Amino acid sequence: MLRIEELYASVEEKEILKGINLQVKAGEVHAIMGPNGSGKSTLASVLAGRTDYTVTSGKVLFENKELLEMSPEERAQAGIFLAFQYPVEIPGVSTANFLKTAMNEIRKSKGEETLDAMDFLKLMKQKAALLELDTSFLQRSLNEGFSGGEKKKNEIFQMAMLEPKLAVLDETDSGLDIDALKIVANGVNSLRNNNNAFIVVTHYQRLLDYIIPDFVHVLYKGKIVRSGGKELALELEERGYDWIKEEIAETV
Amino acid sequence: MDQENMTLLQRLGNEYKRSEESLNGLSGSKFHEIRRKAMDIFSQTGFPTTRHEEWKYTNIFSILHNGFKFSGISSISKETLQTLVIPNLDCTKLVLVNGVYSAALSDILPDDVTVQSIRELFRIKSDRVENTYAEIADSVKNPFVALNTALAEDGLYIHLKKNCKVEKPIHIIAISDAQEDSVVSVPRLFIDVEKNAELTIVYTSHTIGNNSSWKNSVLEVIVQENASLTIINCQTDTSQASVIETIQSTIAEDAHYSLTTVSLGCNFIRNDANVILNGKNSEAHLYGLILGDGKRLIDNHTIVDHAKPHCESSEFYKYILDDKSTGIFNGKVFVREDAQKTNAYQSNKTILLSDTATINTKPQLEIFADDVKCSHGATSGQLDEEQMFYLQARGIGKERARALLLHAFAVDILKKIHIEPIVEWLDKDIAQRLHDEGN
Repeated sequence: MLRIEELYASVEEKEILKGINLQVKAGEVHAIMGPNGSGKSTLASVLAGRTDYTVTSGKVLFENKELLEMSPEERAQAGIFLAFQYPVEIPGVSTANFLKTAMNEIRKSKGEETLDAMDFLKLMKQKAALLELDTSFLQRSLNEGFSGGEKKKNEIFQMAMLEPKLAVLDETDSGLDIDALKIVANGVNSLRNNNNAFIVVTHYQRLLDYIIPDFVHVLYKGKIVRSGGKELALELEERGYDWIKEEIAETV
Repeated sequence: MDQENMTLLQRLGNEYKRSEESLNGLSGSKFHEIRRKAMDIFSQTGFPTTRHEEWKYTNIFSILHNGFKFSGISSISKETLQTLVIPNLDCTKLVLVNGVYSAALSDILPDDVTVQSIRELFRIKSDRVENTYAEIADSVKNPFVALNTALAEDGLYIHLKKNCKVEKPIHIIAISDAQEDSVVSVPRLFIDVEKNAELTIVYTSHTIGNNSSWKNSVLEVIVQENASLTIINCQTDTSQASVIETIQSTIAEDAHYSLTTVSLGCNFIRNDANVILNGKNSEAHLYGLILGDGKRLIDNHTIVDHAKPHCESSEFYKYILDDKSTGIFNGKVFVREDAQKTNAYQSNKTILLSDTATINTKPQLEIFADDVKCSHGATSGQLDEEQMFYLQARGIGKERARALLLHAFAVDILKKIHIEPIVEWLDKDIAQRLHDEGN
């Protein structure tokens, strides 16, 4: 589904990603871990098409299409979803209206029929129930005055509505209490199937108690320095990141 | 001298003389005197140049030309009127064509409201009109008030009796008929809301036809003790239209006044919205939403004069400017020595969509009392890039994302209008202008 080859990216002339290689197949959940400043969020942003980052070399193929040549909206329409680390507030646009627009723009891009208000409302209620969310937030302005946890839950709700092929969760767990964390994990687990994939970017192992990854990658100084199964996350939890840093230092 | 070779100023003078001769039987009256004084003032001051502080960014000479036709009495069809009404709005319509009241096109009024000819009220020597007409809107302070006062052969006196609450809004439809010629009109209204009464006025300005129009409106407003007046003012004329509009209001004790101006059309707009809070515990709220594109110019000058204690005022003007359009916001707030415990708030926010659009904003607070709360703020900038990216990352294309965000910016002001059909009507117009036809 996704193939990243020798990806280099920089922001304001500072190189952040220094040769990332990663392959994600349908049905898989990949966790990307690493200490602060290792480039985890940069990777998520580059995949979603944020323009603050310049890709200096490398290739990203999403379902055999050159992802880096697509605009952010084209990526979303192709089935990529970024759950933002810091979802923005948009006063004056209700969550419901925003999602209806997003959903219908995506449908239009595929030549599908748009949803009418009734069908859309039904779908929203259904998805909210699935995530055990109270629907009152749908009529409020998008994320305006929401707590950190509410914003993250809203991201997962949007993901449930849009049903992407590849979802990238950028530190969705940061700042969440255990109940919110369970809702987020529950959302991912209930959406998980053989046709979609997830990249879960996180600093802590905690989320991975609830979302069991198939692969864990450690990102350090812009490179994936270790890959393994879910046990790698546990090892990191136990030993921290220092032993990896030391090992890297030794090999250099 | 033939028409062609006269200057606009000379033609205005001639127009005044012609009009004076037509006012048979009123030659010795107070009406005549008021008009003569106003003409004298205008003759002395002439049109303001950009050297004039209040007209620094607004060059009136860009819209003045010699092709205007005066007081073209015109009749338009009911079918044409139908294209200008606000769909689903339950209201009482009063129609002005080129500034002249059309009984044939207007609705019958509810019992508690009277609408009378100002000229007729002078003829029968009504004390109210003789003592107050042209007193609130001062010709000395504004040359366009002088010009309107000098040239308006008649006007409408709209009066609401005390203790009466009129549910249905009165919709004043001011039409410039520019089908045959370029046209000048001078609509003149005097709105008098008595004690404890409540009224909503919707004033919409339209131009029909492809020639240019210049509408110089003056609304004088009195809101008496504990009364409430809401004015919703919509400027949706064609791009050949120029509108100069003065709404001068005086608000008595415990009274409430709100004016929402939505400017979507016209090539040139100058609004002067001036309020005197003239009784304690009174309130005034001025809201504005302005969309500018092309080379349009939209100028809002406001004065809120706190003359008495315990009054509250708020001003909230939002501009969205594209292409080479120009916006001006000049908001003066006076807090007089007596006006302790004043609460005054002012804000002007602008989104500039192009590098060539301009906003000139000037808040001006003059405070002579010591126990007051006053604040003002002005911001201008582009669309928020983070918000744009968020919408795009959800599959919403750039154009649509832009329209969504601009609409969200505008919606604050629309929310101040509590009449749903008006909001829907404006919303549709705004969506079209922002190229956002919805999905």
